Amino acid sequence: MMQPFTRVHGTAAPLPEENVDTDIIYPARFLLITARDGLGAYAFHDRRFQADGAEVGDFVLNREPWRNATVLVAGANFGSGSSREHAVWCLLGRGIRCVIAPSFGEIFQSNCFRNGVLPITLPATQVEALSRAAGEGRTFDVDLEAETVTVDGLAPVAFTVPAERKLALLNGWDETATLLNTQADAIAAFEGRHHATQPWLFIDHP
Amino acid sequence: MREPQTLYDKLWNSHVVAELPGGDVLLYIDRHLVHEVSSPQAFAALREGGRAMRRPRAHLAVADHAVPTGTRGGVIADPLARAQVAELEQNVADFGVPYLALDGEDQGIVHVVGPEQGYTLPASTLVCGDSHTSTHGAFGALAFGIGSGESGTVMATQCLKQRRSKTLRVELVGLPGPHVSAKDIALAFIHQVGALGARGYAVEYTGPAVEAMSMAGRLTLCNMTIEAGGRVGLVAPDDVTFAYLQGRRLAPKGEDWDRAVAYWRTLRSDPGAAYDRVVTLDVAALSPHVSWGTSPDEAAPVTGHVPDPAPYRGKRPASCRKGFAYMACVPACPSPKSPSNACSSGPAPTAVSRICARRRLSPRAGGGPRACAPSWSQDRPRPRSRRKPKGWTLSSWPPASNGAMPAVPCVWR
Ligand code: SF4
Repeated sequence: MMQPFTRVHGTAAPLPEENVDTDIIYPARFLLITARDGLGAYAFHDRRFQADGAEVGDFVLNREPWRNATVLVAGANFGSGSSREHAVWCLLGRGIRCVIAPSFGEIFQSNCFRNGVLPITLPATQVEALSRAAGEGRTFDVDLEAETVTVDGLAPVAFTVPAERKLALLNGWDETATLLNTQADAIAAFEGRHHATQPWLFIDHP
Repeated sequence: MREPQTLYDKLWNSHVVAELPGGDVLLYIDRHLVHEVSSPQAFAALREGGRAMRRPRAHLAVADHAVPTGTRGGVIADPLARAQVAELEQNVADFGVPYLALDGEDQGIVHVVGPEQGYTLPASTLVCGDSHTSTHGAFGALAFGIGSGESGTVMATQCLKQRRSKTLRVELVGLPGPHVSAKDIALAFIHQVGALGARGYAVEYTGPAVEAMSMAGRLTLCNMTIEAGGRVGLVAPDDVTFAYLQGRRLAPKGEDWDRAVAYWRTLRSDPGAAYDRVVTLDVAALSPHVSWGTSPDEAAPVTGHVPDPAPYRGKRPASCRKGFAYMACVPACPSPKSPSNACSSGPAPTAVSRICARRRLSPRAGGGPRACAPSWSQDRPRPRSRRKPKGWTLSSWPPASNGAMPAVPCVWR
């Protein structure tokens, strides 16, 4: 179900602002939408549009060459705040497959991995350099297999991703399916032990 | 001899199903609170994958995010909200998940109904698609917010892949003076460590002030933990916890109750247990706190000053100014000397003095308005007969004469 991530090539939009929370990425009022697809239109909605619906001309995703960026180079604590997974779905809907930042909101980061969006954590100085390069409109090449970001005219930047996450992204594995396929016995065995110690937790089969 | 363990260690260790390659573990999840905003996609994923729920009756669903706060039972005016609630009702019916009906007496905010129903229990793991799920740690439950995709995994497997957090003990020294509530302690803690200070940590609150605190206070402390960046807040269960839980609908009964309490008493952190970090906070010296900005660490004691944005704790002046503008606050404004003269002092009607005015009028509200938390203002012994608890008491505030203050909506977390 998850779109595999192997390599992404394209422009990168710089958003060098700290604490861009999930409400900025996906404003709360759109949470009433129950679909996962088609949310790209709402990504950064209130940054991209004025109240009357007109585009905000100087917001990076409204400008060329970043309008169709596939990478976002963000500030620290990107995706903090609410747990809404819509924040990742709307980025995906806009074609953004990779976010590079000095740090991420924890739940957002895990939501990224589960949806085929690669969150890359790098030291602030490296992110700043990449952000400048993004601002110059250079082309980014993110290679998950090799764990490198290569930008035209710059030395490749190495990053690391937990091995498990990497494998899942490369193969497009769905976490639920993986657990059902590999852990069913372990789960059943645990449930037996757990029921013996804390039977009162099993309100469904007393 | 066994190493001394923290409360978090005990909760974690007792739920490990398997160690996974790469350092993650598969953690068993006992409880899952389901609400209308974060669950539709999880149910959709079950359908798409042709999957059943592993233990449908172990979950508890309630509509609380997209519903009107006033009336119940009629038609929801907003068509999207109406459709979202209808979708939840269809999903719980299709999958057999227990549901607290919108027009029923037990409906309420997800983090309030868990405790009220006795669904939130010590020694359990509890998740919900809402970052304020840390709230339930007040009962000594390992509780944290998750995304919708993770909700789908819990529904299908009753498990989640997780990585162990570091542990942070917040040692509250002394007892709070009059007018200092749990919310003030939370704001002071966040102010001390910063809005990201507890990131990566499971936070355990300890000390005589916590022991003396009602469940309402403990819920407030744990609720606000996420505002310090921590996904998990914890208080060791004790007699206060047990007294709150006994007799609740889903709490253990009879012999089970006695066994449960005996087990719950073993959860307390062992003497000498090691934490990755310890923060102490002298609550005896605390004054009531008020917020002057838009980030939870932007708070000050009423005896202090609203800062000058330029040198404020390394934050960008622009971000502080944004907060000032939003709160109609004056930089470097001295806040009132004490809550009692709040209204009459200060060079301008700053947000701080207005907040203080509210506190004086309604001291039970227990905190500034920016930190959005349900008002567990008092422990109500048996809340069953009341309507939905109101998460918000700002309807008559700010005073109508003041046009400068924008309305502060409850931000979905
Ligand atoms: S009132 Fe605050 S704590 Fe309660 S549900 Fe809303 S955002 Fe979460």
